[in-house]
Amino acid sequence: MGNYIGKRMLHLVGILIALSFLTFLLMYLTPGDAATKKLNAQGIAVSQEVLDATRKAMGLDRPFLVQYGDWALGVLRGDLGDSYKDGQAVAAKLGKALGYTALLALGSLALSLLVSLPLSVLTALKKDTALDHIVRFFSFVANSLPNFLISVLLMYFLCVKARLLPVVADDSLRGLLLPALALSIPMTGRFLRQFRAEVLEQLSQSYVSGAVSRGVKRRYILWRNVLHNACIPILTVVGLQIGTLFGGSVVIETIFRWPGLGKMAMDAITNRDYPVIQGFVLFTSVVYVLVNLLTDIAYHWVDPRVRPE
Amino acid sequence: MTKLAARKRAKTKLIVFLILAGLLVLFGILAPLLTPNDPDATSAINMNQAPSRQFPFGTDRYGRCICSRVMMGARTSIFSAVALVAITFVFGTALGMLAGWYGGVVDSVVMRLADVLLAFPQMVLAIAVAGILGGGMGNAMLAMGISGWTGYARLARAKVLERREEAYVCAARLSGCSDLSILLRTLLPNILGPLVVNASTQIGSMMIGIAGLSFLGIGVMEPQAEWGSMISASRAYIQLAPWAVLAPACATILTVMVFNYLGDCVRDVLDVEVAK
Repeated sequence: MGNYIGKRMLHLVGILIALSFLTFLLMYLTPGDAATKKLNAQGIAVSQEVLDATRKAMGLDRPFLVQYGDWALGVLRGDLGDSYKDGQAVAAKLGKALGYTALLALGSLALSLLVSLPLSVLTALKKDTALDHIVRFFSFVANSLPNFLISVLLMYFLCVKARLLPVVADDSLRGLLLPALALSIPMTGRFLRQFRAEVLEQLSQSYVSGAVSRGVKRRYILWRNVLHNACIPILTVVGLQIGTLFGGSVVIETIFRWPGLGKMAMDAITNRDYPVIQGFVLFTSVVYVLVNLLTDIAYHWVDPRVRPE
Repeated sequence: MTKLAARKRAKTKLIVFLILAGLLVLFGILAPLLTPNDPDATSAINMNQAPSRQFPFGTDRYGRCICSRVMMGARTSIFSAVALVAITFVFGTALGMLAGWYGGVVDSVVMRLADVLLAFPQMVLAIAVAGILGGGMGNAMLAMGISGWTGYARLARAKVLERREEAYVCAARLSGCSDLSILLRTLLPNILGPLVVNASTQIGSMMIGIAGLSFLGIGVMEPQAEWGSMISASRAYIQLAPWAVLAPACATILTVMVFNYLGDCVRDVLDVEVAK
């Protein structure tokens, strides 16, 4: 186990270096000169003198790899550069927005799990009944709905037509409800489908029929064996959704004006504020990689069969 | 007997949804001939009009016919998603097969690149790339495609590794076939099944992705008709003209559902064949 974790850590370091390199390259390759972009974002008139000075101050006259190395060392110290737009440190901006996105992500995850966990077990147990078909149809439809569309439709029907909630949300729990719902609906569709398949897979194993024939109570088999074994694959499915949640947060937070990472990234794209976009991409990717590494390790820890020797 | 019946049902379903998807594609191709009005014609006296005989789905804030724009949008959405899946399919399969066949440096480079691209959340990378490139259909497709090919590459590589030592591959080698010929004529037909399944399930999600980018204003741009950008532009007027949002919304939902269901049907039919 220690060996496995060591190997994964080594792999992780490689991935992180490559991630940071690609993120840096992405910004390096953006059309136009970084000094001009910074001055434009700040609304400063560009003259050759100012441009040369800014370029020198930003270190743009150095070779590419030196610039990358310098930036990467800064990242290791927690310095992601400064926003072109307002000069604030990108790391501080990220920190401020992170709480909102975490709240939104956890809220929608909780909503999704609350619905999909019991319902997927129920539909797996009642396979091919009317309930199963109805739930599967709804999960299929939910999975086919783009999240921006859900948001707009929710706003229209709940806020404009039924007048249940305010259209412009504040950052209270009431304001959290609609964006969390919009993020959770397609996710619930996916969860229902994958969890149900997991539980069915476990139910079809021979240990279940073995236990049934030995007279073990069905309820006991379900809780102690089936759900226990389905737990870890389910955790993996949830871990993979973190990436989708970050992508979805850009759309949802922009629509609902929720002041999280996604809205910050979209504002940065509109303002051509490259360091902020860079910080967003790097931060979300690192979180995504770490979460999936943790679920992988959990998988190996719980299930000795997949543990490599 | 029941298994046979189930397979027959799966095949019938596949044919039904192939026809439906085919009709949608045909509809997209023929859209310019079918539109009741000019999709780009603006009119100040017909702003935000309710659905009528002249404008079946009403008009938007510039007085353009929603019905015609939704029809032209079908062309954009379906074409971009299908083309994107086709390109990533060919590109990823080719790279994956080369990696599996030659191994060594080629394998390491391709697979490590795939690993890194998969380490980015797909939509985050797509939004960043499209946002930096500044929109347009080509850029949106590029943004979605950057990590889109990796799934095919991994699958193709695994399948080639699995089969490269099989007797029929050795036979082809011994009979003097070139590497290219073995890859294309001997291996490709044998590993195509799972790749096609992957491709068919991707169309719907690519459609959602491109529509999402367009909604954010970094995908297909006005005045080109596209459902995501139509919904985005009309959303501020939803109290005045809900039809301007609801028509492209319904079109998106129905189209994505048809293509997602088609993907499921392809998987059901081909998985059985592969398992057999």
